[in-house]
Amino acid sequence: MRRKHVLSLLMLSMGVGLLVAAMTVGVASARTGQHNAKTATRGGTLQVDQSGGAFDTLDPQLSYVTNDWTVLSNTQLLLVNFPDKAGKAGTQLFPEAATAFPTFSNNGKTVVFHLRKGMKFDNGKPVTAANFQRAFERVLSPSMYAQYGCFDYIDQFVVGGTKFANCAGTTGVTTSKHISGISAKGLTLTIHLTKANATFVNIMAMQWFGAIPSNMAYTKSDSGILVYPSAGPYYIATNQPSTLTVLKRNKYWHGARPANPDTIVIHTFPNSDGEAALLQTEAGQIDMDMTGVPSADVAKVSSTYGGPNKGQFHVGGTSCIIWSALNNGKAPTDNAAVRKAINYAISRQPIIQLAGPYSGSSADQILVPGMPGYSKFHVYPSYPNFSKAKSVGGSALTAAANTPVNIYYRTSSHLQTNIALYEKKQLNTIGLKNVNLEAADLTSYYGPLETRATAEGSNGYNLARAGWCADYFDPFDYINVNFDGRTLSDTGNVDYFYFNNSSFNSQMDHAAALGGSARSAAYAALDKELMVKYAPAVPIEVANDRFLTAKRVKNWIYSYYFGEPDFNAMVIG
Amino acid sequence: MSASLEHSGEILSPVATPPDPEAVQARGYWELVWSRFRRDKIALVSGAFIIFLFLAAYAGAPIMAYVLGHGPNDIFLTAINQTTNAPVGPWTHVSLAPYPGVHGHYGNTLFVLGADGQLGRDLFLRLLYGAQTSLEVGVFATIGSVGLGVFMGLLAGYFRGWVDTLISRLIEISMVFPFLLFVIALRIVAGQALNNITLGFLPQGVFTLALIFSVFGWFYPARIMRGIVFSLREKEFVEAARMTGASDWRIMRSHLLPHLVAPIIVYSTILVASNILGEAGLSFLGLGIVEPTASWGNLLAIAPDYYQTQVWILIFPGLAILFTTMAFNLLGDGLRDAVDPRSRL
Amino acid sequence: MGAFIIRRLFWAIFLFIVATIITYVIFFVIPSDPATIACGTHCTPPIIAHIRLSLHLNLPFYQQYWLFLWNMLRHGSLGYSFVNGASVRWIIGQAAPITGSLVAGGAVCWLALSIPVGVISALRPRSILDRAGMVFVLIGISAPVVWIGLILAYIFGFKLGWTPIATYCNFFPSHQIGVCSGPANWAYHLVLPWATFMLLFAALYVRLIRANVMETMSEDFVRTARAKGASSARVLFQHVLRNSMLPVVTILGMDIGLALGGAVFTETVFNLNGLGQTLISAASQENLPVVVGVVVFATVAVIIFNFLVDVAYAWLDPRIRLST
Repeated sequence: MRRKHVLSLLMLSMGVGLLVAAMTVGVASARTGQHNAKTATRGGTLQVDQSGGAFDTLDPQLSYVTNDWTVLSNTQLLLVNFPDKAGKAGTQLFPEAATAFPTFSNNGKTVVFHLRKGMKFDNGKPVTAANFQRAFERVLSPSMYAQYGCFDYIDQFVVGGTKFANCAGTTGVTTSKHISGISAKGLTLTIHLTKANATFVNIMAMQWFGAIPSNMAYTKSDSGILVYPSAGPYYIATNQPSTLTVLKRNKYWHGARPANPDTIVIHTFPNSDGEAALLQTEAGQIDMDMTGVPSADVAKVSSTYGGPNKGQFHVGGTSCIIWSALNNGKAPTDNAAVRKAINYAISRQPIIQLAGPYSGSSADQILVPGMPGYSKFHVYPSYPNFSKAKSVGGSALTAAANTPVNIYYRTSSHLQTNIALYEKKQLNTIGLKNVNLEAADLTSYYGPLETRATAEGSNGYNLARAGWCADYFDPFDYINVNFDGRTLSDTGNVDYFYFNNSSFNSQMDHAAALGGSARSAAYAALDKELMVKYAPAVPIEVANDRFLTAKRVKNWIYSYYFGEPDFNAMVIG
Repeated sequence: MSASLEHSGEILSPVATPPDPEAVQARGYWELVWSRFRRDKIALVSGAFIIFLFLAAYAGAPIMAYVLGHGPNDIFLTAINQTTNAPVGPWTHVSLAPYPGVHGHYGNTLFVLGADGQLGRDLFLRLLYGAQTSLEVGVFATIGSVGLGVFMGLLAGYFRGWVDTLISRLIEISMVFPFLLFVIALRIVAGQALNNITLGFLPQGVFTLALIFSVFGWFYPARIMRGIVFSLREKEFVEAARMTGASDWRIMRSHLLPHLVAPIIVYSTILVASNILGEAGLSFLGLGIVEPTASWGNLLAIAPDYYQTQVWILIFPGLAILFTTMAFNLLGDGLRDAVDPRSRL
Repeated sequence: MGAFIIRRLFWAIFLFIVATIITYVIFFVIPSDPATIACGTHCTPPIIAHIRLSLHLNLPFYQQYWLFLWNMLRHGSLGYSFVNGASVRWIIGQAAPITGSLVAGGAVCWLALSIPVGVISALRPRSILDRAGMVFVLIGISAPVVWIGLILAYIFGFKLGWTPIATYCNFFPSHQIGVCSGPANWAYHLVLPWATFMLLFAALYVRLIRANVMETMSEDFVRTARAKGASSARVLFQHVLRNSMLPVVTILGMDIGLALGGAVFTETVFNLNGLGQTLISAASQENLPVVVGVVVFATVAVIIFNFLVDVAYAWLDPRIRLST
């Protein structure tokens, strides 16, 4: 999934057929608390705050941000899912709604899922294959306006997807009723793929593909449908955007994943700096702040609670690469020499210091450790090098001296404000004189980034702090999804680089068609070429999450996949 | 916090009784005022503090920046304690090395009051430069609202009739709006465009705040001035001026306005204090002065991050605001007593 | 009395119309294109055209305003959020009780504190108590609210653990699990916000009441009452307090608008999603219907409150009915 609010360092890969590699960088283990299922007990209300931000949307097919998916992972019933177990066991997919992993036939091009009997939505309606079919349609339909599926090539994977989604066409129109390659009959879901796809089962673990009511409407509204029946461990009982979200246990839930708290209450405070929530957590008045510990408080919190992962203070790794996205569609960052100069001028380590201890480990590439094709390299320095920046930038940089450079940031976050101020100063130093700070919405940071007109308009951004976490474990999800300019449309873009290079596009196509070690090697080369030749982003770090929980919270299980804890597994002591 | 802006309590009677026109034989009246003011030790100290503050802001800040060898917006990554990750405390010598842990001889620079947050900027210099910003907002917003208010008050009080009715109704309508909510909405919706107006010498955001405070602050002084002019107009000297054929404007300018000087000064002094608080409030909400410009509100906005660990970051700007607003309030009280000893407020 | 009430009522209605026109113009007519803003992030020209129609932006201004007013009066509707389509009335219904509780409770607190302190200060000018009162007043006027709020939250909420640190509980008991409610909880959670919020106003009112009481004490009728041999307690309660409280009532009416806005700082420190927070979020999203809704709602609250104060005042003081 794209973009993270808060961030990490320890990273695990996951998947059925894929490798499972654990990389530790600095933190020995992210496993904490008692994660013994036997002591786990049901009951109680988990009180969670979300400070300094808000859910973009909890509509399952419109949500694509970490915090949104954290909630959805409690409510969605997926065909295949990750068990809520600590450590390596938590990275092994298991068939959840499906009775077993799917059968592949027709040279791997026909996938058949058989669903379990007796699964029900919270309103008592039984779960059938049609509920999963509808999820595909809502991911791809132009009537949804935000066709995130187009960026992940879902349309190209599934027979009839291209026609149904018409990704390059206008949004808002209805193409056809169903996707021709997907058929639902009772408890059998059959999907016809355009070609054999090794990662397809992993893709099915994205929150987009959970069971939804088969008549769930298409929606244009940015917040999507607020409340709808769910078949997972919980359902959304109340959803008041940017104030209150309440999850209640689905009384028909009999799945393998736990549903320990009776109720999960999430209070959202878009304009809060998180200090009140931190005090409340320490005093036991709430259980945790899902935004994490404010960066200025991490050192103190860590020393108060005996260091990371010894008790109430948790540091967990993610698959998330944090970057300053450079807008390749807007001057002066449309120029590769300028982008490279910015990479030299901003660098990584100072920003990591701003984020405080355990924030993550420096990185200057797109792929993250443990990812197939990951091969560590150093193109740009950890600390700024202004003379190098100026020489790399050359005449293009000089010419851009008075061009406006906009840094987009969230004002309610002191960390983001600090980073923006730091970046501004670095850019001034290399001769970019006209640097502006552009304040973002309190409640929707990503909206303006997604829309080409606002991104490339005069108030559009040149730099924006964002990041990318794994949707599924394949370099494709990092490289192609973010840097294939052919998938860009007017609205609903998930890649904020607006980078489009025809020769790089064909290289990506080539790499995507490969398998095995050739694929890894091809992506390793692409990763390096991207940074050496084009520098579309300023990668900063592979990020960590830093959370504090109240004393009464037990059974802390952290999902590397989401970079968020599993609320449904928490036990309230 | 800026709820104290033009608080109505101040309005009804601070200077309800205008100076006796007979006493305004220029020097005599002001000499009397000065002799009364001189006896008020608290007001004198407050006045001295304010003069000191202006000196510190406009002369002290550049001098200290020169002496210390760095500026208020300079980022020092070395001003963060590498073990605790906290900004360094008061009176710390900070390495001039570009980054922590870089070896070599770079020398040190002194942070008198420590660093202001994770960016490691000099809190002392930011306080001094922040005083400029806060005073500019305070003074310009006051000039704006009092200027507009006096003009409207004069018109209403002098012409009476439909002019007075119109202006009085306008005042009543303006007072119906929930001031701060309106300011917040306007600041966000229209503020971006206004921020770019700097008149060539103001930091970004100062003009916006001064304008908004003026537009929403004029009706309080207007009410007071109207009341005063209303009663002055009955006096013989106005009648006499009219007899000699002086025009309305001339009477207002040369005969009425001088009598308003004393209440204007008193009211303005108190208003500066509330405008400074207003800046602090809006900046705390992220709607005030645009970073990286230092202002006391911006300094205070960072402070909550550190109020448990590095309390001085909260204390210093807090005290600066407290002392300054107190000084303006006390000076205003002293001036009022000096101008009009009968007033009891 | 009847004529007076009718006159004020007409004036209140006039104020309402003018205030809504101004608000509507500032936020709906001046922005370049509300339809584009309403369209949000996933937008195409046909949708904008459609939205323009549904928002009636194709109509001349006075018709737009008339529809806005008509919907408000006839249907109690303030429109729908650009962002998620929720009705603005509902959004305000969620936020207003929070700010209302803060302001109403705060007003009770500051009056309860400032009346005794102000009266005692006036009766014993230059005593130690008077001076202590004045120091309190100065600090209250001069200290930033957030500063006070943070310190109170840390000391009383965290260190001593006497009160909750943040968040709001509904006054009316609700059956919603996990969301706290009930009058006791409500008040308990508001202790610190009230204390923070009242400080500024309490300071101003101590000053005001002290001055009023001193002035009344020197009036002829008080001296007469004294001369007639009335006990000093009787003079104080029968004559002085009644007369010196009249201006306080007026000013309370005028301050309510200030207080509604001033509450935003307290809301920020204590995580209260009241009107101020709603407004900040909405304005930063250019969610114009919510912005206009909050401003209009608060304006109406001020108008109604002022009207009630006028009536109460006229009832207390018969002279007023004749002069206004």
